[in-house]
Amino acid sequence: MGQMAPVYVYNAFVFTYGMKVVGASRDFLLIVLLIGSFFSFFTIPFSGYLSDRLGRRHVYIFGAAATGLFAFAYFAMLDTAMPGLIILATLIAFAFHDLMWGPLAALTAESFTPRLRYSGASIGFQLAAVFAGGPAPMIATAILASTGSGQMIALYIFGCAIVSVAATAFLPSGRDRDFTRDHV
Amino acid sequence: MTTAEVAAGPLSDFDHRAQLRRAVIASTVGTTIEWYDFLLYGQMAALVFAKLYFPSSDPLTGTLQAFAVFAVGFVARPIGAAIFGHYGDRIGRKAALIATLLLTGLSTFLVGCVPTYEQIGIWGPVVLVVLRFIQGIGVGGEWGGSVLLSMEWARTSKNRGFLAAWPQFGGPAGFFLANLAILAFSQMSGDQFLSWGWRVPFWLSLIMVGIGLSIRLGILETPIFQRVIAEERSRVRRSSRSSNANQRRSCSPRSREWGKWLPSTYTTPSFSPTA
Repeated sequence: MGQMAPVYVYNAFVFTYGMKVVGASRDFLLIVLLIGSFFSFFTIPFSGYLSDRLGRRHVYIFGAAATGLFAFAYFAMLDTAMPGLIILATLIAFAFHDLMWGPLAALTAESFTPRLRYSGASIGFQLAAVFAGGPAPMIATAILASTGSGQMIALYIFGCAIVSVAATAFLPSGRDRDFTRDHV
Repeated sequence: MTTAEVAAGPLSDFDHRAQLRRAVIASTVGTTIEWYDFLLYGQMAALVFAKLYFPSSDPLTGTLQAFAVFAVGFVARPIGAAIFGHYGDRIGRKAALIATLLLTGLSTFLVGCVPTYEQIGIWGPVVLVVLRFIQGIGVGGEWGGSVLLSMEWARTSKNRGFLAAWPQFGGPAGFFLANLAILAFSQMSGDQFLSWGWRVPFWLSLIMVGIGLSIRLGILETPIFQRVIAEERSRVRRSSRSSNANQRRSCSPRSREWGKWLPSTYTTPSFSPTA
């Protein structure tokens, strides 16, 4: 949840916010996102590597907490309407998000044994996409329409991050389990 | 039940590394296509679908309807996850991944072929919704399988996270390509983008499916899944063959495991709400 909601805000809702509130052009925002996803080409494998060294849950929880806190700064930086700051805000937001996105796959798959893994991981991930990801741009749009403030949207992202941090903290560590076998 | 081909014996170090590399590429290419297709549709829904497929309504309703088409794709994703999760856990990762790739890619290609409202009336948007639904089913089955394909080739737990991050890399890669395609084609002058330019990025999906398919057909089933299947087979064989008491004693705990395994395939023991 802490991963899905922000990513749809940063990738989809940013067009609504960027064009209507900040006054940026569509092409500019598209280019900013292109730079951001190019940057992710490096941060995602790196965060996967970090999760092998430091533990997946630690990296994921750090990423979720950092994403939740940075959301406030993100909207403040967008509000300046300075191209440099918009690009910087996007890069930082993507980097923190990737600390969740990188280890997410292994974290999810390690929660299941081989004979349940495909179903378990797929259904878990896709349900999260439907309930947290899909409605996120609409929720953000509704918040913007009723409050007119980016900071309130940041609060929403912050709330999603708290859910993620708590849920991940309760997840048993995959480290001490045998990934390769069906333990009954 | 048939399973995917089982390697003749344990692979040599060299072959294992080659397979691992191939599996990681196969899964990364797959998720790239998956996200490209899914995001391309989402972006195009806002840019052109409202104008071409919902023209009778006012612009706002048109946009809403196009997003409804977008939402159909979301609803289909858990359904695809359940279908391909079921087969992927029984028949194998490879077979499921070839099916999801074809389903996602071909439905995306066909989106680029749907005649507009002006040409075939209400059938235009109807076909669009159906294709989006099929695409969503494919997308829903793709992610989990791709992650497993990479991870289950890992030899140790020391690099599993790194290997599993590569299919995740497909997310921004697909996003990058989809936005690049839109940026490039929307620069076309005048009505050209609206009349045919927007269709080209959907057709390009077919090329990517060809590449993805040629890689995926050449991979082996993951070693972890192969072993689990082999162990289950020998367990079943042993328990059915057990005629003397000695054997029965040795196999009874195993058949008890087997009995516990069966119901466990229909329940989900641990589930992460954070994913």
